[in-house]
Amino acid sequence: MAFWIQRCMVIENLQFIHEEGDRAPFEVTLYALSTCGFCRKSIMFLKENRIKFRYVHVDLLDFETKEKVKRYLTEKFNTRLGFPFAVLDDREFLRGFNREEWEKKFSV
Amino acid sequence: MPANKTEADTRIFIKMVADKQDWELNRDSELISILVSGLTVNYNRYGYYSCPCRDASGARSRDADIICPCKYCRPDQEEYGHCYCGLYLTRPFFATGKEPSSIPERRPEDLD
Repeated sequence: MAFWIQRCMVIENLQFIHEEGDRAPFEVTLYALSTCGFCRKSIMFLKENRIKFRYVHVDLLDFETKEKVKRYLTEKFNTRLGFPFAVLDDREFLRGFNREEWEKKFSV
Repeated sequence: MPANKTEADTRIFIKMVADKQDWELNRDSELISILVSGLTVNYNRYGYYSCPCRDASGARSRDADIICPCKYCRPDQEEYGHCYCGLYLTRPFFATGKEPSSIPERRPEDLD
């Protein structure tokens, strides 16, 4: 349990960028790469639809933190990581950006 | 470490690749700008054009398969009409006018 709490702390200690919005259908945390086109598209999608979210560019983290974040996400969701990786309400995820899928999920 | 690249250098590079392979570049100029910027950042960060849509290790030998155009570009084009980043499109896919989306990762998981 202590091990898992330690992992969670890694996430909560990240310097997230917070984007305000007047819609909050989920608590959204987005893990992105600063260099990735679909990641930027996903950020723009959330902003354009005025959805409140927070995000972090994983490639800009120091190596050790980045590896901890990647491991935390793959273990928590028992899945392979791909970017963008959006965590919804800390219990489900969207991997990659597919506009139709995101429109359906966020009801926009 | 090789000399730094500018975004102008990278634009020439992707155009050259597309022309040589008979591919089309994505018509979404905004997406192209992001990918050109990302490729340039990666070149200047690692010394090679690592795929901007994947997290590179920084070790050239380990990242060899994801140096643009990546090893998975052609099979991804055959199945989805475009590469993992949506940068290089086949001519038939380009002609549909569809917007590329994220596609499943073809890279072996142990290389993540």
